[in-house]
Amino acid sequence: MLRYCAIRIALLIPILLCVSFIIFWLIDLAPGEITDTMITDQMTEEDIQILRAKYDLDKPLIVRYGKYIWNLLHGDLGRSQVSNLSVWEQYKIRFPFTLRLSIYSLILGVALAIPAGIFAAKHAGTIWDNITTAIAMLGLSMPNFWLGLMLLIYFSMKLKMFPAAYDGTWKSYVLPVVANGFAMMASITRQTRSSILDVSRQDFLRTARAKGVPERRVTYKHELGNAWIPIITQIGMMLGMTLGGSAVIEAVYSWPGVGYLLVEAISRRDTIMACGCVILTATMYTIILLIVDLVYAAIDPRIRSAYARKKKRRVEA
Amino acid sequence: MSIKTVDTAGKEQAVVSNDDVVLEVEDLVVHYVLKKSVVEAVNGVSFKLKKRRAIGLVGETGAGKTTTALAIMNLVPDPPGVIKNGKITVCGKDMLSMKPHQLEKIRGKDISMIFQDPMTSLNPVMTVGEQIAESVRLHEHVGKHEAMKRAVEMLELVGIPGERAGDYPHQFSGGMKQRVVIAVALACNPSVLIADEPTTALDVTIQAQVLSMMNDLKEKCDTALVMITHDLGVVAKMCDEVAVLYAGRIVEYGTLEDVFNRTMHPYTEGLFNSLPKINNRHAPLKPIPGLMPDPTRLPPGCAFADRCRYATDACRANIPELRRVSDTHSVACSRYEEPGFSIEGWRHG
Amino acid sequence: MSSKVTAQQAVSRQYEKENRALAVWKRLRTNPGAVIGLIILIIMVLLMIYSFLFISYEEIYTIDSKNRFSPPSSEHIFGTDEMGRDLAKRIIYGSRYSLAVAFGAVAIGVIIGTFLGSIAGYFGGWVDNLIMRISDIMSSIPGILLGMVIVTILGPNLLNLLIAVGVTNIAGFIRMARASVLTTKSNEYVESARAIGMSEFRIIFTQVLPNSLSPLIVTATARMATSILAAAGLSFLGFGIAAPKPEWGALISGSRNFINYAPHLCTYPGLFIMLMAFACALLGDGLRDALDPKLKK
Repeated sequence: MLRYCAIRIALLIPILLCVSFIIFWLIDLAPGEITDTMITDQMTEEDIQILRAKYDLDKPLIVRYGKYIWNLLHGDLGRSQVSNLSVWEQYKIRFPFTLRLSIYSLILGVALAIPAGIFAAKHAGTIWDNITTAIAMLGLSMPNFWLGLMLLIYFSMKLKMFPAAYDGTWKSYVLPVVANGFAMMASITRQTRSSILDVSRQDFLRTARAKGVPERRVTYKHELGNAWIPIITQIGMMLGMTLGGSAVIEAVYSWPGVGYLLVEAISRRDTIMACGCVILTATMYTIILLIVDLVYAAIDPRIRSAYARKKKRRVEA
Repeated sequence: MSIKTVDTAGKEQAVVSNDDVVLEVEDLVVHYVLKKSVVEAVNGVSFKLKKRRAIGLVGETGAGKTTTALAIMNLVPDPPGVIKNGKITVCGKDMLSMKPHQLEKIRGKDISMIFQDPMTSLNPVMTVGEQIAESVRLHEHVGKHEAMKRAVEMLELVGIPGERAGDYPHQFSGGMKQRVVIAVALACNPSVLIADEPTTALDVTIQAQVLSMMNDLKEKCDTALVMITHDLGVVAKMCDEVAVLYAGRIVEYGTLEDVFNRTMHPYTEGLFNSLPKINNRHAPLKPIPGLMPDPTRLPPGCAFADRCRYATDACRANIPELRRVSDTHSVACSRYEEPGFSIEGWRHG
Repeated sequence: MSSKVTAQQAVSRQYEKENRALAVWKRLRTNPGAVIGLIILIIMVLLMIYSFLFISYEEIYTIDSKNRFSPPSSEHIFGTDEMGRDLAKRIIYGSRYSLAVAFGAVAIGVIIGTFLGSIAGYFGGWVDNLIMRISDIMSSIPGILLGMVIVTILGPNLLNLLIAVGVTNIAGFIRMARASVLTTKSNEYVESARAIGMSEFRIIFTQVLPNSLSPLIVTATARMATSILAAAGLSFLGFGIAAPKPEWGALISGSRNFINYAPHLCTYPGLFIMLMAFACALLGDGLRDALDPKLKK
């Protein structure tokens, strides 16, 4: 198991190298340079050259990238080229906000989605199922930034129930968590419904009923117990997506998270900051996927023994 | 087993009035209502089963055997299944009028069921011990530890080392899984056990082992058995009584002796004729021609008439009643109304 | 193989294809969700055609300072914006961007993704490894980020937005096409195609891919919905189609400064984005059920 984790994390390294190079290269390709806003009319050609040299812009891409990687290997993510603040420090300050937003949204989403999905599956084909799946489908189709703005208009501006931006109180979490959690809820509901429906055809449920297991326990212990794998996959994907892609919601609510940090970095051509954020976010993403894999093993003994044998074995359905 | 004696004492009292009958099925009718058609799966099946006896329900695939069994448990999937008519009494309790929570108390305790495919009958994410103990905990209200102790005992009873209670179903072979399934079903010492083709999914060598184990357990636990099978050999080995089903009806019903040695119904005869003869292996098999009628469009008369070499026009007009021919033996064939009619009968050799 | 036989085969295959399409259509027609989705999409397309024919460039961009921020009324059913322009007309005009993204971004994903994916699946070995690692890299960068970077490089306009969203679709289609090809390539008819000397590429594109079509169509339709949302999100952040153009995401972004006193500016474009994505998602679900009736039961 440990060995497996180590391999997964080691595999991340070449991917991160490529990702960071791509970001470097793409930002280099983009029109405009970081120095553009610093150049004034008074500057001579020589001044500009000095300024550019300060940011290594006079050196070829590969040299700049090599220098970055060299520092990275020494655990140094560098400093923002705009604010001169340490990338790591900035990320460390911002990340908890994004993480909290993601986790709370996920808790909200899962807490509502799993009962809703079970409900829909239990009433499959009826009007209740149609209503639940239609709501879930609407939730998936709703742009989350728009939902965020709508919530802002009604609950913050009209009803004045919640603040419009982060102010340190729990109340400021409510709107962004709902806006962010709604789409998660929608997709987890759909996944729960279809996995419960898949499991509901299995023979062992009949065995459980035949030995007198109450229907509630059949659903929550036997059925849900076997439906978890695809649901967990969906939850993991959702968590990864919000960690990396919460920029939109963060923009709506002026949320001090990493998403917005990244958007700013890219708009300002702050290569070092952007690259650092991407590398850290991609690492988080991979770690989440790894955790999801480990959770599989925790809930499904067949996967557990497949790991124990180190080679994939075809498992019986 | 010590726990068992206490239990059965109570049960005996309940059924004493009804002549030791633990299971009674009366005029059971089950249909599956689909969008465009109605599958008439079971059309008026009645039989009784006494304590410690075993009845075999024999018939082809689609004859309504499994549906009958599910109806006895009141587990017919609804929708599409509908129990149209009938009364089912298990240990004096009317299964079809019970509320869900009352049924949950009976299932697993008074009556349990073993399903056809052991590969899919066990929950893959629970240990086998947990699955046996779950039943014990639900019905006997004992602690977790006590229930697990019982689960280990049950495993040993079906011939699996007790220390494997912590293993998961995928770590067992097919035959072992079926033993576990049997242990789950017998965990609370039910008065009636329904076994739905318990050996069809197993290797031939394992089949014999499992059957003889079931026979032993039946004796040991005083359980009445409903054995559902299409294998006449299994019936001969396990059962005291036989009911032959065809298109949702019992066509012949009697003791093992009656049905096997004094065969009366042409369909039963056909079943025996399609088996290889042990004394004359070169004799060609005589399969029954044709197929069972479409259960969504059963004919107005005897459902077997089209495949029956004795059939007359009268057979195709009216559905034959199940008529007694002796104290223990009944047959549903109109031809017996004619004096002197008899089928050729099947020969042992 | 004589030419007579192949001609016959071709005819029967053509017939089968038509039959199958007809059967799928019949099943689709009985699915109320799919029908609703299809109707919404058709209305959107009609609106787009209407905007090409009857809404002039001037109507969309001319400033009318007397009519700023008027709420929805009979004259302006969705009200007017901060420059007095009719919001309904601007939204209808903007349908072209959403439809272009829905079809264009998915087309990019489908074409590049299935091409790479089927090559990976069919040839295996180092080709497979290389392509799959590329796909891994692409999927380890959050889609919105990749989109932002691409738009930043190429500049904010429709084509670039299309490319940006399209690129994020590629990895998914690579994996799907590869899986389909892996399952179909061992079938007998592929063996027999090889036996009669068909070239590898022809086998992929005439024998293998057409048989992996169902999952492809289903994923593509579902991807249309997510692409619309992704494009709107990018435009909202300012990495899409720039402000004076009435792209729906950009309309919402532009309305943010006025949400206190003109909430309608934000509400209606969002409803249209939702409707459009909803229609694609419904149609995708309907197609999945219609193309593979086994999955449903």
